[in-house]
Amino acid sequence: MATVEDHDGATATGERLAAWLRDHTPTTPVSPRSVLGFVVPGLLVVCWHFLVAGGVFQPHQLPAPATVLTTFVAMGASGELWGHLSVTIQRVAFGVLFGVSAGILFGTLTGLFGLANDLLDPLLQSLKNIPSLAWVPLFLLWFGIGESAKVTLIALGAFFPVYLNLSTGIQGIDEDLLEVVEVYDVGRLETLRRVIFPAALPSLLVGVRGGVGLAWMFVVAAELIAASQGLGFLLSDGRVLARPDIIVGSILLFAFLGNLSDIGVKALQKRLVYWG
Amino acid sequence: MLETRSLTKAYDETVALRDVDFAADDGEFVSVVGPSGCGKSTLLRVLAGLESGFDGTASVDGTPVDAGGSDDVGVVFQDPRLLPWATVRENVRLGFEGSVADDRVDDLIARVGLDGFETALPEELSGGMAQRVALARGLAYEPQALLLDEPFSALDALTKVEQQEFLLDVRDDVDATVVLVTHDVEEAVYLADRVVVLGGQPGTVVENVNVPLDRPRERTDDRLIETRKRVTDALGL
Repeated sequence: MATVEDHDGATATGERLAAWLRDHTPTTPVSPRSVLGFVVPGLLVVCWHFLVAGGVFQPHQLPAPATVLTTFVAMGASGELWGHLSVTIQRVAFGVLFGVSAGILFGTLTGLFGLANDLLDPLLQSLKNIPSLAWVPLFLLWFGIGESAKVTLIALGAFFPVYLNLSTGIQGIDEDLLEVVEVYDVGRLETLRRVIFPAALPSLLVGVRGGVGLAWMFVVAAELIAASQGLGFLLSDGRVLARPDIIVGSILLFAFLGNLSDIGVKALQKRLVYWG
Repeated sequence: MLETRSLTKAYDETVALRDVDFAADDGEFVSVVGPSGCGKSTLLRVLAGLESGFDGTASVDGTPVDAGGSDDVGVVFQDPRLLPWATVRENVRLGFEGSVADDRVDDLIARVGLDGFETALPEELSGGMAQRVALARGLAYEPQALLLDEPFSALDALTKVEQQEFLLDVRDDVDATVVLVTHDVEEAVYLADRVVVLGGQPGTVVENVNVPLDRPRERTDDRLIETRKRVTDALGL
């Protein structure tokens, strides 16, 4: 009896495993073309290795890829790296949250109301042209060197793309659809909910994508100048300590994190904008 | 029911309509034909309350369109103008006033022959099907007058005939006044009780041609062909 049970159990496990595999196997296999994107970076790393090993670059200027990797693995093991990473990610997250929220608020206002647009848009358009670094002294003066100065700076960076895209997205909504709404006497609030916001959603997400990208630029600006923690601090600390491995590694981490967040927003975009 | 008197509408320098007296009786099916640029769509847009700033009067059931008269008018445009992010059900729901249960919306979807497509998106529909969703949306509104602006002009010949029959079918269920703007004389005569011929630039009413036939009609009926000839003569073709 025991063997029969065992046999059944094994079969059931086998079937469960087969079912699990069926459910978890991607229906569209990873396309060879998406792998191609790794070829050139991979070759560059190989070149980098041989250029340093061959003495073309001095290790105190450009360390070998393996050195960078070892340094960061050690920093990861000691826990030091996670502190910097989490602080930076937190700043970006809060900055994006506040910046995107403000962008949605002002973008909606100027998109919907001509008066708000006439009053605010010229001002915001000119503020947009101020380089990120120019704000730093002022924010330090206002907020001190605490978190609020950094988060405000990042929020400012995330704000403009969201504001600009949403505002023009709402203003550029298809007149034909607005006529339909007019013919069928759809109320103002319902029009917002059913027509204007969905119509402006693709523009909003384009803005969010740009905003998240700029948030990473601004976090570097904020952390390079006034921080005692974070990836940007690590970067400037690497310069002070004459540790090129830390500098190069931090830059690569910024690239990785920026890419990761962009992939995330892109996935969100694809999910929310399911039409067209 | 629908009426314009000495209606003149100009866009900047261009005068689209001049002194147009148009009327459609309660429950009447009127086709408006004319060459491109004669202002036939403009006439429809004025009646739908989509144009502001015109001379003369335009009214629905005695109420001027700019004083809420156009509230009782539904429009089906040349292109379906569906919300691309909304399902067929949500698109039709837009025509209802206030909130309605899914069942009521679905009944209407079934009436235009689209049962099973309630949750489809507009991009999944053919041109003819999308236009029927637009028609269902118009019917949901329960308008006193339904205005159709070349609704079949983008469809292939076969689908067009199908949709014309279909329009006559659903029209039997509602007693709305129908005004159909078209450049297709055959379509105008086959569907309508009366054909209004517009001409000239700016457009004016050239002639009113009655169609002296009961429905259902045979497309090849001699009297239809006769009427068609009167319309083409009025158009100067």
